[in-house]
Amino acid sequence: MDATTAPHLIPAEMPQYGEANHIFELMQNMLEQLLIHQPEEPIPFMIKHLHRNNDNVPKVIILGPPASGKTTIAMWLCKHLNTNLLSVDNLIVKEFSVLATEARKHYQKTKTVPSMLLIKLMEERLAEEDCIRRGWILDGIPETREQALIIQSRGIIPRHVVLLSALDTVLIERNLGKRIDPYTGEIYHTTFDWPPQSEIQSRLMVPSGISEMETARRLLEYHRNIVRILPSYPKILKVISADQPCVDVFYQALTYVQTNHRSNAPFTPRVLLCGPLGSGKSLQAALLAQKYSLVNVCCGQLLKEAVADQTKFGELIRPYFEKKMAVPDNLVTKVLSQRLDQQDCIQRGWVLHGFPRDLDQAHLMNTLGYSPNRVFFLNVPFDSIIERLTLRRTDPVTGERYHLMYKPPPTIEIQARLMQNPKDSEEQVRLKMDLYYRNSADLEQFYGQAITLNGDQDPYTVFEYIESGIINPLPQRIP
Amino acid sequence: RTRTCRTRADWPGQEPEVPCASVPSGKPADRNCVEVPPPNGTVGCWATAARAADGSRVPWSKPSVAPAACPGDLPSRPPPSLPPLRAWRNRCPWHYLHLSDSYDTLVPTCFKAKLHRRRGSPTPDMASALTDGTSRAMNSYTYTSRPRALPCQRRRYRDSLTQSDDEPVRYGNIMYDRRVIRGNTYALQTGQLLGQPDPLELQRLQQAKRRALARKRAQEQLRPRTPEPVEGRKHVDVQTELYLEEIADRIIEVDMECQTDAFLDRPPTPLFIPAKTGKDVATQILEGELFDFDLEVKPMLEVLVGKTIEQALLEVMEEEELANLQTLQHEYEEIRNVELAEVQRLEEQERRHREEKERRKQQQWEIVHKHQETSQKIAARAFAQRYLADLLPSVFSSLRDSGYFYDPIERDIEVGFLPWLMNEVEKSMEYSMVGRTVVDMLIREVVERRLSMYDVKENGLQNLRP
Repeated sequence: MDATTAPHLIPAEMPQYGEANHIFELMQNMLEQLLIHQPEEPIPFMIKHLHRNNDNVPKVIILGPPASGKTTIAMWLCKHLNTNLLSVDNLIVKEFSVLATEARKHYQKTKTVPSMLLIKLMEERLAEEDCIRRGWILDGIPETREQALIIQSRGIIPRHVVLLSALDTVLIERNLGKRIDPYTGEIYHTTFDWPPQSEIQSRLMVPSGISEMETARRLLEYHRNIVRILPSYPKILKVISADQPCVDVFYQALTYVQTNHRSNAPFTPRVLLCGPLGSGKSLQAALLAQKYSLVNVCCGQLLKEAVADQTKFGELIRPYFEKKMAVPDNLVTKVLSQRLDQQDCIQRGWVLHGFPRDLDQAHLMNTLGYSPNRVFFLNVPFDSIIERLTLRRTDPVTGERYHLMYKPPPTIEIQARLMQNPKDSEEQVRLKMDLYYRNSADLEQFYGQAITLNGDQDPYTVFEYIESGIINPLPQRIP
Repeated sequence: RTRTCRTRADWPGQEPEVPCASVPSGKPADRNCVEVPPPNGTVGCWATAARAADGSRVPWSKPSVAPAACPGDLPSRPPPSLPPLRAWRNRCPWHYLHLSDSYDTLVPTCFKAKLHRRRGSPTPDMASALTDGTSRAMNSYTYTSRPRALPCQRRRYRDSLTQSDDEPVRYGNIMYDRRVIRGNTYALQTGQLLGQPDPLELQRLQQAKRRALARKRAQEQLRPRTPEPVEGRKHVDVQTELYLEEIADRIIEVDMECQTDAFLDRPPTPLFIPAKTGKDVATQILEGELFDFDLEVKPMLEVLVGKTIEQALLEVMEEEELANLQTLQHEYEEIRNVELAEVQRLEEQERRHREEKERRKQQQWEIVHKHQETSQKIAARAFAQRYLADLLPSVFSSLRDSGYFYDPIERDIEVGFLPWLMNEVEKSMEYSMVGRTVVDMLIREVVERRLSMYDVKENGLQNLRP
């Protein structure tokens, strides 16, 4: 077993497997829990942790000033994500708990619960089966920096923290319209969130403490505390303006909660760029290859190279080129797999553009084992494409390529002698576009997790979008 | 069943009797023992050439035979008429003779029956054939049945209708059955059979007898008897004949016997040597008259000897051929054996080679497999190492970000020092606030006093001025 006799290569399936199953994040979570709990018997603990398989359950903290709609948002998120809601009110009313009765006593006396007691109560609640299995959303806890620090030192780590913010004046006014349904506990608003059912309307009652003075006092308290809580969650915080309709706020919160944060897992990007002719795929691919040292694989280029090198594949491909016919799929895939199997592709990752033009080719590529982990569709409207392509010109003398709109030739005489590639004529472009549009729907359906971008913008803007698409983890769908 | 015998039609002799011919026309329904003369020739027993009576015309008389009660016969069958006289005359030792044209329905009961066959008529094996023929000829109802044992009813009264199912059927012995007629059936009381009047006659007879008896008794009573003896006397019977007779109860018996001479064996029948008929004639053949032996014998001899020699030659040739075949076969066997042995050896070799090859292949495959597994394991290990190389740092950094790992000094400052500092600051601020408040109060009081003093003074001045 010598490296000289047979090369030891890591088979490409292993990194793909790791990526697909998020092994790195799994191990990271397990190790974190191990360090936090430090059990005597690590292995049964790890086994139990893996069995629980709750790395992806929602763990959210929602913070915000009074009357910002925290509870509403929290309840909606709970329903949508099928998880548990924890707030001071419903922690206190828990039955069968010594801590809860103590807390109740305190609350009756002073309208607050001491931090340590609250946190202990919270811990008790979080240790229950349903919180472990389905996750939790904390509404308004921690209230002070002290509580935040205690939570953190106990090892209760949220994945997302949502902060609702709005101007004080707005909040004070809004609070005056607050109504509560005594049966369900849901909060409605006279102006913004009026319930449609008349029986609910009839039984709504005005809660206590919504006068302006009261609200102002509470806001003051809130501002004092929130400034010191926020630095505890630097990387997982998102601020959402509460001054919008609550549905918008909810959707923003939901989208944020469903995204994963970037992890430190090793990641070799295998990017597929799809788009019609002239959408800028080659340009983006070149930029990506330059910045991230990926291998730029252009399918058409590969075939031309094969023909030029007069390899055996080239010999087979040449007659098709001469007749201007499409090269058959199996030949193309053979050439492609030859290129993608090379070591530099496997190690550095690749950017592919121009290959799966229809569903069969996509299936073929899949079965061969080269599945991309990021797919981008560049959408450019037809007119832009026509504009981009039909105005291309080449200078036959210098070989310089010009574009009549974006890169016009400097002098008139150069402009006089410019020539157009017959492939850039409008009919040809139209033909190719039709071909693309026929197949694009299938491809989009095949690559379910593809990211669609607007390709009509400045190339560097598009590049930034692509970059963020590559670097950020793919959005995960909660069942 | 009456015995019948098939008659041969072409016996010499007999003409059919005329009265016979009229019989069938009169009784179309009759089929048993119908005497219909054969159309041609006479009737007689073929076997013994017993002929029917020739020349003797016996008037037809009503036979005194009564037919046996054949079961299944039509009750209204007229009594059969037989030509018994004819039969008696030329009695076939085996059969009764019957003039019968039509097929009789009854199965012939003797084994020789098959000899008695009408020419052209089928063997009467089955009565049914006969019945068919009969019925065909006569269009009448026929019935036959095999002999069967008859059950008897032991009880006088039946208990239930289904008695026959439970118990085994008791068959009665017909020898002891009162209903079966014993003895000759041709001499029975005809009076009974005639019907009703007879019992009446019997009764009358009985009555007459009884009356006669009664009369006799009456008469006896009227008959004069000897008077009764006088008193003291007794009547005694006395014999008054000349010669006295001894009267005793005992009857004198005398045994007498007589015996014929012992049977003598019937002497054997003397051999029947029929008288010689024909003429005796003799002849004598002298030597040399018929043929010359030597000459005649030659061809025969030639043929004989030739054939014998030929046969011998053939046999010898056959033997030689067989011997040749044997040798060839032997040779062939030997060659075959040798070849077989060779083939087996080659096969063995082949098998060994193959097994060896298989084993080597298996070994090699295992080696390769192990190689692959090891390389996979190594690859997996290397990959895992590389993949998770960043694991620990990232874990620690994430824990630090989430606040679990905190700088203890910072935390201590924050939790321990700063509150105290704030407290102290508050206190000192409070002090200054309190001080200021006190100073404010002092100033106020001083100013108030001053004001009040000025007021007093003003008032005093005003009072002084006017």
